[in-house]
Amino acid sequence: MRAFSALLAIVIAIAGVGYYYTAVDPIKNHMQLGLDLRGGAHMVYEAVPSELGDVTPEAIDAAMKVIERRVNSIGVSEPVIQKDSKNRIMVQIAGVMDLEQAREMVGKTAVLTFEDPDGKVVLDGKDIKEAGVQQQQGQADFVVTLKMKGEGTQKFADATTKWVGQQIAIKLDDMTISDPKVNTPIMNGEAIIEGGFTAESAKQLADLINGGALPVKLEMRENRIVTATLGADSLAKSAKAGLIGMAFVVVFMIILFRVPGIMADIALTVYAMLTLGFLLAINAVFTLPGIAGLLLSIGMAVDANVIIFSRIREELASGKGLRSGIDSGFNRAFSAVIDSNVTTLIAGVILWLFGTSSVKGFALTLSVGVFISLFTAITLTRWLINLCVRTGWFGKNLFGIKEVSR
Amino acid sequence: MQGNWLTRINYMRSAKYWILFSLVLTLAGTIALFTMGLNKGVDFTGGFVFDVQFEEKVEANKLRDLAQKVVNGDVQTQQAEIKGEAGPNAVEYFLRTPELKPEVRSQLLKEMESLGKYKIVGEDNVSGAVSKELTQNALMAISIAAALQLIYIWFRFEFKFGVTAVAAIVHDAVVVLGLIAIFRVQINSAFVAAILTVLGYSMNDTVVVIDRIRENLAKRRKGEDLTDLTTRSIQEVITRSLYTGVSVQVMLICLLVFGGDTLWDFAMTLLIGVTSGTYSSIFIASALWLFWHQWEDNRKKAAPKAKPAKA
Repeated sequence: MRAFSALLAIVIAIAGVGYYYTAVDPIKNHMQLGLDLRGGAHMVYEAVPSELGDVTPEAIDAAMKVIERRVNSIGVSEPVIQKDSKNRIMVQIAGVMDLEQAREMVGKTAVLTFEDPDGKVVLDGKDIKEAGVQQQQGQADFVVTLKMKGEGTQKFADATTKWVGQQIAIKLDDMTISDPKVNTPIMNGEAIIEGGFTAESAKQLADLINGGALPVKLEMRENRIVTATLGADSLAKSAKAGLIGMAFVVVFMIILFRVPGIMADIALTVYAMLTLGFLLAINAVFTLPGIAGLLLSIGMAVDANVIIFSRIREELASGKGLRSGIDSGFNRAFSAVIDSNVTTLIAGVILWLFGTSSVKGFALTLSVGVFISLFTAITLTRWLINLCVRTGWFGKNLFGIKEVSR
Repeated sequence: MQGNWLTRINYMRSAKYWILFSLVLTLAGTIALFTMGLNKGVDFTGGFVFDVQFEEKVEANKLRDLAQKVVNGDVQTQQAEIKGEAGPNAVEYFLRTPELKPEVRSQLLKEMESLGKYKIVGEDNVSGAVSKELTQNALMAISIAAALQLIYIWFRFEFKFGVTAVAAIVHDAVVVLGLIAIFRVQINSAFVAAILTVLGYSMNDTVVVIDRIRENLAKRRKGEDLTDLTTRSIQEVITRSLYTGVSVQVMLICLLVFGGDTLWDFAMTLLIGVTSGTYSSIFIASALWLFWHQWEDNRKKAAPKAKPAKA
């Protein structure tokens, strides 16, 4: 009876935890979702040598700061900006926002130039020290201030002397962001751009000019946008597929192995909870391939149980008693379970080492899954089966073997 | 032991035919691979894919014609599942184009308005340089994984098992590549993950079979020849192979049916691979191993001072 109470307690505990994390405090709220599930923009840029300068680690770090400033200027929370291998910068911007705007801001604004009316470049990003915002004295309007540096002061003086009364275009790549008219020659390297700016529009232009002063040229390599709609759709569909798949597997195990099948299902549920819990604990980011890996690992986690139960059946059929049959079944299945899982683990680790970021998620969940399934199948299932035996309700029919035969 | 008809088949009696069948299969796969080629997604070719949803029905060829005119290059359209909430007449397409300059992209988006109100649900844009690297990385990852598995099995079992097990996973890789070439399953960056998982799974399956052969060899019955021993080993594990295979396949079929078109190609690749992996671990790895031993035994017998082969 004690064994039965223990079994009952386990089932109730699992049901309780399951209920809590689906109905009371949904686990979804604790999961850190990847861009492909919550929506966002994923961009990869590569630094290439150009007239702006060589590709150096310092230049890349500086470029990352520029990108960060640009992204922050549109009010995005927690952008991910990482150095990839091979002089690449990866930018991930998540959440609800104007994706187009984000991309314009980060992606297309790579090189800042000042062009004269002939279309000739008179200054570029490295000639600009900084742009700022000022309110004009006694007026409501704001202006953008410009400070040159180095040769910039001289170049700007030459250009403004030559083109008084004409316009000098400030361009980011091919996009003209401002087209101010030169009123007087500016010799000291300090200029202001007027034009009825509000505080906000002035800041925007200043940010563009500051942000445009990239120390190195960036070329787009990858640019992916997932809308929140698509992300939510993917999440809902994979969750549905997972639940239905898991239900099939659970039923399948009961049909194949009866009572031990139920024990395996309990172990499988614990497996799923432990795996999720572990991934949450290490703050893993859940991506679509990651969830697919998780589901696949549930299918594979069955394997260890199947190997063990099949083995126990063989042992029982060969004439062993229930307890000794179970013991030798577990012991003999051990080498097959370990060896087979290590090979999967090898594939998982290699995948993690070589994969791109989304593939890494898949490799991680798959590997963690394999590891935990080893534990649940060998330890937990064994304990559950022994509890079953100790209830005293079952003979060898526990594993579908007829008592009298042989 | 008790069992069903599966445990009574004399698997290794027809070993030659399994090998022959697999040779034909891999040959067909190779031919398909080289004649039809893989259906490469933008991750491998570079280019743009727009997932675009129109509020009212729009013909695919109208969209294609318009896009072709704007981008002045090869454009493909493919009907997609409707994502999120949408009206009853909504229609969604994947629109694939070569790499576009920002101006051309904006122009395309603008001209598409003439077809009706639409929204972009998702967009992928990959440059050619990245895709080349992806292929190299994939090949490297697969080779290293195979080599490490060979070493592990060599260490835990024996060299011959290692080689034949790797032969079996190479078989699976070729079969998967051939079949997805034939079925035009699209490959993207997740494809590498799918292939490696298939290799891991197939190896896992093979290990269960050879583990049993190893065990049976250790307590070999007197006079039992290697063919019978291998057959018996397979008979003993076949039920497990199928049970596990089916439960994984059930999971994958659920992903195929309910997982939406984002996961379809991925799940399809895995499904083909897992099926092939189950087959190859039963029929290919052990059959090749058996032939190798028989060939060695015969050679030893032919030699003057023949000793019985040590198993």
